[in-house]
Amino acid sequence: MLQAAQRIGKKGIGKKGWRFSAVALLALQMMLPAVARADAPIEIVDVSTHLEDGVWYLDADIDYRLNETALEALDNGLELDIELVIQLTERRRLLWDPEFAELLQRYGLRYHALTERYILRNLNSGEQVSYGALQPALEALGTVRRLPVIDDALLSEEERYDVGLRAIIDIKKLGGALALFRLFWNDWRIAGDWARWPLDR
Amino acid sequence: MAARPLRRWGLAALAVLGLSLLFAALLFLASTVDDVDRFGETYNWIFLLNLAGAAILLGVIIANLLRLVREYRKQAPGSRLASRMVAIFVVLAVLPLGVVYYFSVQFISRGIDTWFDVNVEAGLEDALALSRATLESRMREHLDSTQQVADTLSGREDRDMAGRLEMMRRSSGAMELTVVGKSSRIIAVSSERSVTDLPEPPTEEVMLQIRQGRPFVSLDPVREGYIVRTAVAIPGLHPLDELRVLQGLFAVPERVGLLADSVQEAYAQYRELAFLRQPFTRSLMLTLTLVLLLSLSMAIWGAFFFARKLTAPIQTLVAGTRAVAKGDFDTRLPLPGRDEMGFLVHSFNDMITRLAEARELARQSEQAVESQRAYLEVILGRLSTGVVSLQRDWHISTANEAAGAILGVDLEGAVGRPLAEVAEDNPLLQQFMAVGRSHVDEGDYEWREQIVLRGVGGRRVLMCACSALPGEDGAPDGFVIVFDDITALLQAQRDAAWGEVARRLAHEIKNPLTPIQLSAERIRRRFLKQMEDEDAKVLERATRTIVQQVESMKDMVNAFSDYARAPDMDMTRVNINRLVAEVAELYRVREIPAAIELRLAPGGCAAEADAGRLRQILHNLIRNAVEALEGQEQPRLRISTRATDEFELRAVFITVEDNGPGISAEAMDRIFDPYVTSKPKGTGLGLAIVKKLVEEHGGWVEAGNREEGGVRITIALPADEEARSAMLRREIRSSEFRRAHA
Repeated sequence: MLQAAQRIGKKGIGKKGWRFSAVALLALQMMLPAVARADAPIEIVDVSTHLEDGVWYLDADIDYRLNETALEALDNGLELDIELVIQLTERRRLLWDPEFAELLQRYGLRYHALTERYILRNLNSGEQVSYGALQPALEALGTVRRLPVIDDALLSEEERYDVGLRAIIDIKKLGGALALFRLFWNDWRIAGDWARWPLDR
Repeated sequence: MAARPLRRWGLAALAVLGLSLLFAALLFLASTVDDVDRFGETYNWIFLLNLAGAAILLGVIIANLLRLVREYRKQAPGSRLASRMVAIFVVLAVLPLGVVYYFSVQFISRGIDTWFDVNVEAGLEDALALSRATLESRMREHLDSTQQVADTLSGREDRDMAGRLEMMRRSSGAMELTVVGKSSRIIAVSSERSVTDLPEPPTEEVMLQIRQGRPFVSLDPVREGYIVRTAVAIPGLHPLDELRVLQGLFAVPERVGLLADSVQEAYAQYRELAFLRQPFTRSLMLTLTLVLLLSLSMAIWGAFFFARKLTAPIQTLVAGTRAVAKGDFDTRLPLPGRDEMGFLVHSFNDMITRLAEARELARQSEQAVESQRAYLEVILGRLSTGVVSLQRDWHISTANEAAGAILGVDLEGAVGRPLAEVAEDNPLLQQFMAVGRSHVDEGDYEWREQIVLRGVGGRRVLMCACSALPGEDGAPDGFVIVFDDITALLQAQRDAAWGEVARRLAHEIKNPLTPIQLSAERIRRRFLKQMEDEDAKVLERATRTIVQQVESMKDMVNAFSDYARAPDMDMTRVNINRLVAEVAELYRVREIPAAIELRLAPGGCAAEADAGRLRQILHNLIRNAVEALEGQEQPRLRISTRATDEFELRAVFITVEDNGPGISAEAMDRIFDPYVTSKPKGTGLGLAIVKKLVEEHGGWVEAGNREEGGVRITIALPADEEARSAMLRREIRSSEFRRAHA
């Protein structure tokens, strides 16, 4: 099921687009230092990858700390969109590392007023679990076990790879005119820092 | 000049780019607002586009504004109009936009507030509470039945559980009953779901609550609807028995679930809306503000653009006018269009064409006038007749060279000056002016008169004619006086008359003289010896007197004959110094009473002349001087020569000076006329002959009294044929030359 969400390709994203995006984002970050620079609202406590039966799995413990806006939105029935971005990059010495594969694991967290329970949905699989309190839901969300990343057969023997993990919490219930709002009020999107480590083979 | 349109077009292109970016951003935004995920990916681009577009547009506006301010300060043509138009455009744009913006903001904030009603909110809260109460009643029932099942299972072995559990599930109406032991070990399961569906073990939350000794019941929303999850501890027979937990899953009827969902959705939507009210309002206002700013920017830039578009032809017109003012009539302005401004520019071009034609005509007229003036000037310059035009106040308007030469003053250089001022040092001009004034004072503006001027160089006889220049007020605007020096003409006429007299005298008198003399001598020879002594003496005295007087008359007639005679000139190169020395030596030999001093030109002095005539001239001059010195104490005679080439004329001057009594003023005017003499012994033809011979050479002779006493007679002779020719033709340079040496 999770593999269905994987977008794996040898060519990866177009280099020009990635480069330009990087420059644009860098410029944006210079202009808007608040973007993704809050004091670690999402902390990746522990992360590791291991090979099992020819498949690389990811284990991670992520500590989600919701800001006031997110808590308020959740309390008012809005669904938080939690996105785990897992990137596999080839390591280069002189040039930037080209993206080799990217995997997106998406979750939805919302408060169900009638039942007074927090519902955590795996948007990739459709599974959902309810919790009587927010903290157990966040803990369950932050505990990632045996998440398949990539088939080892797809990796080149001669290359070395790095794995990157980042979590993003987004209040995506902001379509229409509200979309513009997100341009100017950045606490509606909480982006964690990248955690990177080599894929030990 | 080419940089300005380039910059203008560059600014316009930038403005269009900025607007395009802003529109692109808005379109981009509009296309992504319905797709949340896509918006998340692209909002950086949208922001960048917005930022870039706004920055470019703002930059263009600032550049335009700075340029306008600069032009305004420089008072560039059209800048004031452009400023006014920009201000009007901006005001016209800001006012309606501001009004629309204000009412839109009010409408949005109040409109959104009306969405939320206290009653609706309370009703939803009540509906939610009612739904909860209904479901909680059902949950309590399920918890009770679960508790009953648990009580029934109390004390039973694990292996007996499965069969018993199935029966209990059916009786209790549960969807699934599960008994778990320590570490969530499933002991028994009874489920109406398919066998492929794995049983759901109690969650940590459930187990935690059970361990705390409290039964667990919850309503779990699932994909298909709702289920009620209950969990209780199965009472053990012994406190140390393993904790066993019975979990029951009860399906909520579909209709109840749908109703509950409906209430939940309505409530959730309302809460969402309530929560998003402020961001929504802010977003709308932000959008509105962006649109307002965009519209304002467009309006301001448009104001600049159209103001420039409208003032450009005016600036072109001003530039054209300035060019025309500077005399550039080739300027043709480009037609801005077919509107009124185009008509104006067309008229301007037409006017410039006509002006250029008029100017060309004026230039041609001026050229013609100038040509005529130059022609007249040449004619006046070549005229030997003097022409002077005077203004009403006697300032000199024009004068030709001949006028100056005749009057002995540079009248051409004195144009614009009062005639009286110019005449201060010139007696001839003073007399000339006095005659003119006397006529004008009497109101006689048109007159003709022969006037005699007396100066250092002798008398001058001028024939003058004056005409008034017509003025606007009837009074004369000035005068033109035309005059000719007829001194030479009169002299020539006199000379001719005297020549004729001399010829007749020589012819009529000389013929009877010889018979008279012969007759007297014959009478003397025949009758002298026959007469008495007394009578003989008388006869002898009478006949001697007759013979002497006849001889004297012969001399006189010969002198007349010489005066009238005009043999051909024998022109040779004559060494003047040697000739003067030779002639002077003759007089030294004769031991005349005067001491002759020679001052000959150093370096030689030669001229093309008739040596015989020159010798005669010198004899006459010396003889004239010697005669004038008779009876004078310490008589001295000085002869000097001098060569010059002034005014491109080579000439020789011979000056004879004595320290005699001089010549009276009355005699001075006619000293060169025949029979004018102040000496008792002179025939009166010496100087007349000198003048005649000198003028035959083309030269002139002048006589004057020396300041220290005595007479100075100066002869000027042309040294070569060219000078002789110029002097004979009375060329301008010869007049100037003579004036310089007067």
